[in-house]
Amino acid sequence: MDHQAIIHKVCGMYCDNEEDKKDLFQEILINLWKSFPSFRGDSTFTTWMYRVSLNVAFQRLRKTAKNREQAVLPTTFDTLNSPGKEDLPNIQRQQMYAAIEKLNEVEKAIVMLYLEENGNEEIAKIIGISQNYVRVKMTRIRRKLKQIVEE
Amino acid sequence: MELETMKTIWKKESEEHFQNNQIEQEKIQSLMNSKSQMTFAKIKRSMQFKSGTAGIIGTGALILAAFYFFGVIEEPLSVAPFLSVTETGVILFLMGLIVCVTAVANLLSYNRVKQFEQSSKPLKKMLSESVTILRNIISLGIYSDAIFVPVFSGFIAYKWLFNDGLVSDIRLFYLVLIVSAAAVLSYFIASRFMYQKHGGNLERLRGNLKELDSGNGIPVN
Repeated sequence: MDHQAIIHKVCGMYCDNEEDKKDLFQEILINLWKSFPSFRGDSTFTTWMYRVSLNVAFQRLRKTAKNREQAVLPTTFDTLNSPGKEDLPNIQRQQMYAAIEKLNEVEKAIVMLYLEENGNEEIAKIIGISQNYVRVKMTRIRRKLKQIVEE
Repeated sequence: MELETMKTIWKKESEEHFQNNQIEQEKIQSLMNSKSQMTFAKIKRSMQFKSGTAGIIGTGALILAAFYFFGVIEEPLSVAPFLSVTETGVILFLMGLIVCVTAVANLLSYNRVKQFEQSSKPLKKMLSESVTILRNIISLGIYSDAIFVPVFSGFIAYKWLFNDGLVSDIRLFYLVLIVSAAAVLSYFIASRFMYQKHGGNLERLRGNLKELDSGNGIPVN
């Protein structure tokens, strides 16, 4: 059940509307299914899930207004009520998402992994960069978030 | 907002929302069985179709060319009655060969995309691979679309210029000029079309890859 939460979190991080979230959730599921044979146990299942989910989020083609109209949503998904940034009651949460929204896609991935209590080693494994560069990135992100709040 | 504050909010958020939003097993099963709309999944499906149809058409053209060469068919094609039987055989052979090579190239690319989809490497590696694959797909699309125009126009021009047989004079220069112009024009049109189709996505992937390059950006003090 924790594993589903990973997909929801990635969707929440990279999509700003319910329709996109549903589409990305579906794409992540399909890709997890396709790439499951590549899971050899050399990393934890969670690390593997983060890798696949983030890869899908990064490769997904941004929808234009035209193909958004054409998108057919699966009826089986209709009852899903994933959390939307807009219905968050807490102002702090809204501020958090507003700040995250201003980060680029790579920074969003690193922040999400950090917020998920992953250490530098785990983040480095998922992203594919050195631990030292994770630290560099985190410093830049902290600075950027500070700037965002000050603005 | 400090990252530590965000962490506390995120944790609370996870407990309240994410854990309670679970989809049932049956729904997950049906979602996994649906068609992926990802760029690479769409490209893969298109390549599968292209390699299949090009394989059939190319083989057909080669068989037809063989019929012309061995005298099984003695009439030129009704769509190109200005060509002789031998010329029809040659053009069918060339076209068939090109189409077959296109089919094989599409099949190889299809297999590469399939392997890529099934892998679960770290994000940076996957971005790097996706950029390479997308660039190859663009090149394949450009060359496979653009190659027919100079071949066909060269043949028409040859027929028009050398109706009485090939002679080494100024007309040879014209032929080379026509073929070159057709090649450049078709390459230009095909690349414009392919970059319109995939260029935006390629640039976005490159941008993200650059963002993960440790040599990029301002130094941290």
